[in-house]
Amino acid sequence: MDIQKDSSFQNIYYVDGFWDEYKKLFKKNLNSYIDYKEKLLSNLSFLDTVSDIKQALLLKPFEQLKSKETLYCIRHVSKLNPRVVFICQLIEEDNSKVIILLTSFFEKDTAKDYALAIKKAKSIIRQIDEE
Amino acid sequence: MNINKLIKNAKSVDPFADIPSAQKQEAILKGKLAAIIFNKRMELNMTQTEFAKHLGVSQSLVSKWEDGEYNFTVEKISEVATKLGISLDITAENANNSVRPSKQEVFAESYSNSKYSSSKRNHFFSSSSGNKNYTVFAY
Repeated sequence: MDIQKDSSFQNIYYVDGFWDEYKKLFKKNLNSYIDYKEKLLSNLSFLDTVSDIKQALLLKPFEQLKSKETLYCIRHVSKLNPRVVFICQLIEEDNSKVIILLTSFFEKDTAKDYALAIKKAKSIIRQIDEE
Repeated sequence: MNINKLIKNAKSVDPFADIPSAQKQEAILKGKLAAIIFNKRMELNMTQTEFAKHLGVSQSLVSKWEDGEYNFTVEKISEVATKLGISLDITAENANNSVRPSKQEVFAESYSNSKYSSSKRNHFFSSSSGNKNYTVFAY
């Protein structure tokens, strides 16, 4: 599975298909799509710029998922409740970070939705590992 | 996961190209301002509550700042930056995909102020001559 780099940022990447999936989430709520995308852009700008990413991921817009793999979520608490799952790896050699967005979903049935998203994220990570 | 190999071959994309340019800039700046404030708090090794007390604001306000959605006025960000001992600056460069030049002066002839609202424009000066008002805009 290929990775794409965001041209506006130093450390933000996406797996192939991430944005198609994200847009599909909003097909019944097209009016909200751009608004949420802007919020996401602000979050990514923040993550790209912060120095201490471990501490930054403790802030309210982010949460660590209950998974063996270290997965995180960007959460917009709202009517649609979109969640964006990502991984964050620190590169010790140059003290930099790599953030890869994997998948997204709307949180409606918390346990079930998170479980499915984690399962999907793990599958994506396996595909990346096989490259 | 061999991250270095993965990112080395990553194709560059702009997934936010469908957001209007001004809104895109706004979102990026909000995120950066939030990060600047957060970085300073980390440097001072303070919790949000301690940081809020240090600045004379509420913890909930600090939380809003760091969430990246707070709409700072120039006055407010200048005040916060000063209290934190941070110097802010702005640089401007032409956007690659600008439809028109980044700065252009337009001379508009208006017969009455109410007909041409200047609320959404930056106007440099207005002057009157006879029964006409002339306003120079820049955008």
